[in-house]
Parts: sequence; structure tokens; C-alpha cells
Amino acid sequence: MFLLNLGYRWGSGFSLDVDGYVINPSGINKEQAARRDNLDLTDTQCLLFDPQMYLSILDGAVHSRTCENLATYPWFGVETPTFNSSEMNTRDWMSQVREQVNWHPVIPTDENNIRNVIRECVEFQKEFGATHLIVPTPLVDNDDDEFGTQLKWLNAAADLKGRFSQPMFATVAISDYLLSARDPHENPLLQTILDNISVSDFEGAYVVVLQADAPRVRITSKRIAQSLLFMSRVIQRSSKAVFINYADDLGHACIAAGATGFASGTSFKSRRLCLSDFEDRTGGSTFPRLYSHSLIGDFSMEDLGQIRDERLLRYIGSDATPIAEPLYAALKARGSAHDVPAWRPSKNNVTAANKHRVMLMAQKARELVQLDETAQLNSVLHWLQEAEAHGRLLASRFSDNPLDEDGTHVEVWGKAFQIHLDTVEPNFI
Amino acid sequence: MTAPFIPELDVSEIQNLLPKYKDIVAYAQGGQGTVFRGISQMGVPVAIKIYSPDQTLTRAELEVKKLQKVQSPYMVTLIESGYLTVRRKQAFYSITRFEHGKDLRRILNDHGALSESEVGILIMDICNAIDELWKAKVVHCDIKPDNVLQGADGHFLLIDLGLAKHLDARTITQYGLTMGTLGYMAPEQMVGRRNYTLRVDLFALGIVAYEALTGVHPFGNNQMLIGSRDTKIAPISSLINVDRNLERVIMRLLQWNVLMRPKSGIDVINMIRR
Repeated sequence: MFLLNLGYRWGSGFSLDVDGYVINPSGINKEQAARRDNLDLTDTQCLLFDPQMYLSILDGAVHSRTCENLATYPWFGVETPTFNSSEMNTRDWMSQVREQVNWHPVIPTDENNIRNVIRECVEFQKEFGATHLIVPTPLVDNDDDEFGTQLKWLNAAADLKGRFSQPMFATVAISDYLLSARDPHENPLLQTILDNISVSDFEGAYVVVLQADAPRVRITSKRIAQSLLFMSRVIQRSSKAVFINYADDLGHACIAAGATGFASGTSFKSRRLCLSDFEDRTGGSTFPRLYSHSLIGDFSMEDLGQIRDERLLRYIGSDATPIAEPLYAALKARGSAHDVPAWRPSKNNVTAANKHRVMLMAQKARELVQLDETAQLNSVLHWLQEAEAHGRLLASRFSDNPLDEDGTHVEVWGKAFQIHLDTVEPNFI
Repeated sequence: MTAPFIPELDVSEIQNLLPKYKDIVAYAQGGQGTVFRGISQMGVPVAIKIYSPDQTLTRAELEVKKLQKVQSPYMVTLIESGYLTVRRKQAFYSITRFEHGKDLRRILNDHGALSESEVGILIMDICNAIDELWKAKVVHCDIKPDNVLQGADGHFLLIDLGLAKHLDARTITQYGLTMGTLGYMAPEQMVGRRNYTLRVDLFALGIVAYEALTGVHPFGNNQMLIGSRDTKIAPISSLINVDRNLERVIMRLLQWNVLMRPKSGIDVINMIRR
């Protein structure tokens, strides 16, 4: 199951062929989110609203734009001007919020207040139309506490569980450094988290890893990759669903490990959860890149030209979608992306590239979930091994003029998956 | 074993400390405390356990309100608990309904191992009690043969809730207490991990069931061996003829890795019934 992260306004009748959406309040204020009628959901698509309580650690001075959005949601406990639709539109109201907001989230610590905050948050989600309710919890940022703070929230939420018919998911939001220091099966904090989640009454877990800073969009820490695979497996073994967010297409491997689904997107902010992405910056432009599931990378148009010139286009042959077909045709005819308007490498000309990325991720995830457990493991092992082998050939061919997409993560994920099979699935050959 | 009070507590001291209970008589004495029998104002027979003052500090601040609400036919009912000043020291006490029966330690000592069917009932009954406790986020923390009583109907009952730990966040975060009895503590309990789950009770139940079935303790009553992930437990089938499913269930309960153990008592019961 592939879910698309949406953290910004969407147009009327917005619809994509994905299995569902995750709405993120960091990119959209409460009043905009409330107008979700624009989102055209089918009966089979699921809708999650991630409360992002874990972002209460953001710094109002450094991440002001994100904090302004978050502040509009009641569970952060920040005072904001009241929105009155008869007196103002959402834009005017948000201007007032920007002027007046003082980002100092009030995160309760006593049981009653925690319960009240959770109630308000899940009722908002229910009203929003979420098909699954995500229990907010603060970020796990300290191993001395041994998940004690988060358990207070989860225990309070468990008391409310009977009031809602939707499945409830426990948020496990954890700082990357707590996963990267040890192998997952040797990590006592992770053991405590998984022990408690797997015996809980919740229907599942919603897992995100917060990166303080990340040099690359995709996760390049072997232990973090291993940890996500391990969490997927252990939680699934306890007959619960697992959604992995912000791990980009590493989530595809997590499905084989046991995850129910994963969410990603097209921008940095929707593909990973990294503090630096929330810093206030102006400008910023993007150019189209072709997402290749086979090579596990996003290739610039220049990269594609180089790959074509080495007669290696077959490496991405299985990644064509109807949207990318014209680009493939141009490349095969020894043309270039400049010949295809939707893929022309010009600033912010990314609509086709984004749609292709989302469509391909969803399609590959659907193909994977149709396989049985062993076939899923085989499929992902094959996927990672092939991508690594092909990536190595590309690296050697282009050693003088390396591709923009360097594929560093591929080898890391391959090793992580191999270790996962050795330790968690020892009977898998 | 060191006596909890020297000289021993006598009935008149307890009668003065707990005047609302009558007909108090001495019942038993162990390393942790002294047990008396009595009758409540409602005429209910009760067991009064006075813990050694040496144990009081480590059990401070235990939440018992939720524990008092836990009702299960497979578990003794807690009537009250708290602190008493005994000989100028604070001593923790618990008062439970008095249940007739024989504890599993005495049964094993007097009659030897239980039959397979009896062990099956033992596992299922205690699993029911463990699940009931966990609904209130309580772990018993001290499941051992001495704390399991067999009634005249052949069913088993979990007694002695004095160590039961309500997993209230305050007690979890302020106290990383290691509570339990050596030889029956789960590996994660032993290293002082906080925020543990009902799986510590399932592990202890695994030891009790193994012991009840074979007559020997799977770790030779050596807590250090429990703490080592390299320790190999002798398969039950190497000691006695045993139903393979029952052996499999007990070995699952005894998994060193907490995440490999069943996640609830009902899961264990379903495995037994398979």
C-alpha cells in the first residue's frame, strides 16, 4: 500500500491513483485542511491525518512558517486568533496568525490534560474524515526515559479507544540518533518500544524517524534502515498493521518485512522528515527528475542522457509509466528531454515527473502486496541486489563524470535487508 | 532465609495495627513477610501480609486503586494495601481475600510433578489472571510456585499481589525497580528495564509450567543463567514424554527475547487449545 504525503493545499477534485493520503499539518493550516472536500477519495483509498505532535520541538525562530501552520491546531496548545468565516477568509486569518502567534507549544504532562488533548486531536481527525486515527505522541528523543512519556500518551489514548469506530494507530516518532547507535535487536530502547506497542490494544503503529540533518534525501544509515525493517516485522508479527512514513522507497522493502504500507511524496519535505527541511528559506526551485524504481533513484535529464549514451536504458526499462512514455520514446530515438515539453529540464517543470513518481511507487507497492510473504522477501532481495549491481556498473562507467544520482543508499539498504534476513528470517534462503 | 521480623510479629501487634479485622491468627512466614489470617468486618476471611520494612522503600508509591478493581476467578482479590508503622518502621502490607487451597510449591514438594492436563489448566488459568491484570496495566512481577494456589476444583489461582506493579507512568519513570524473586525474573526485569509488559509474567509462568511438568527448574534456579541469552534450556521432551504442542507453548513462554514471546495470555490459551 502506497500513501501519498500531502502537506499543502490541493486543487479541486484532486485525485491520484494511490492507495490513500497522509495529510500533514506542518504544510497546511487548520482551516485549509478543514476544506478537505476537494480531495476526491474512492471507497478503497484510506485517509490519514498525522497530528505531527513530534514537531513540537521545532524552533519558532528558525522554522517559523511551519510553526505558524502547526500553531493553528489545538493540540499544540498555542493561542491563535479565532477564525470567523463570515468576517474573513482563510488568507486574512492566516495573516493574523503570522502576526500574533508566539510558538511555545504547551505539551501536557498530567494524565487528564493528556487525555483531553488526545480526545481533541482524534475527534478532529474523525471530523476530517480520516479512515484511521493516529494517536499523537511526543518525539522519542531521550533513551533515559525508556519510552515512559510516550506510554503516558498511549495509555491515555487506550482509555478513549472505545469511543471511536476507526482503527487507532500509535505514533512511534523517534530521533534518528537513537536508532543509529545500535543494531535494532541489541537496542534496549527499541525493544521497550516494540514490546509495549505489540501488546497494546491499538490496531497498529505509525512510524516516523526524525533526522536532525541528512545529507541525502534517502536514508543512508544502515542501522536506521535495519530498524525500520525490524519494527515492521515485529509489529506485524503481533497481528498489527504498520505504516512507515518519511522513509521514501525504503518503505517498499518495509512492506516485505511486514509493513502494511508506506507513505512518501515528491518534495524533500514529503519524502523524509528532516529538521533542516523546515527551516525558513525563500526561493528554491526544482527541475524534473525521472524516478526509477529499478535503480532506486531519481535521475536528472542529464543523467538519463548519459545512461542512454552507454546503451543502458534497459536498466530503467521497467519503470515506464504512461506519463514517462514520451520521454522514453525521445531517449530511444537519440533525442533528449528537451524534445518533450512535460519533461523539459526547466525550473519547476515537475508536474509530469511528480505524477510519474507517485504512480510508479503505487504500482510497484501493489504488485508487491499481491505476493505471498516469501515471494515478497524474494522480490525485495532481488530488487535491491539488481539495483546495487546496476548501480555499480553505472558508477564505474561514469567515474569521470558521475551521475547526479549517486545511489549511495542502495548498497546500505541491500546490506540492511541482508542482515534483516539473517537475523529475523533465518529460514529464508 | 532471614526472618522478616525479629522477634516475630505476634497477633496482638497486628490486631492493634488493623483493629477492623478480627480473629487474627498467624498463618505463615517467608523471607518477604509474615502472613496472618483474619476476618473482615463483612465476615470475609482475609490473608494479611506484612512485608519486611527492608522491602518497603523499594515498593513505595505503588498505585493500588486500579489493582483493587481487577476481578478474576483466577486471581486473589485485593481488599486493601498500604503502609503500617511496625516497630517504628514503615512496612508495606496487603490484605487479600483468603483462599483455601494448596500452593504449587507444596504440591510439587509433596506429590512431585503435575500431569500434562493439569499443567495445561495451570497455564490457561494463570494466563487469564495475567490478562486481567494487564487490562489495568498491572504486571504481577512475582509469579512462582509459592504464589499459585490450586483449589479443590483443580483450578489454579494467582495469589500475593504485594509486588504487583501498576504501570503508572510516575512509578515507571521515577523508579526503575527490579522486583521479583530470583529464579523467576524475566531477562528484561533483571537488567532493571522500566516499562515492561505482561510478557515478564508470561516468562515466569513458563518457568513455573516447566517446573510443574518436569519437576526441575529450567535454569537450575539460577537467575544468572536466565540473564544470559546463550543459556540453552533442556527440551522438555529430553526429560519426559510430553505432548509436543504443550512443550512448544512452554518454550515460547521461555523465549529470552521478549519480542519472541506471545503477546497476551489469550494467545497462549489459543495455542494450548490448538
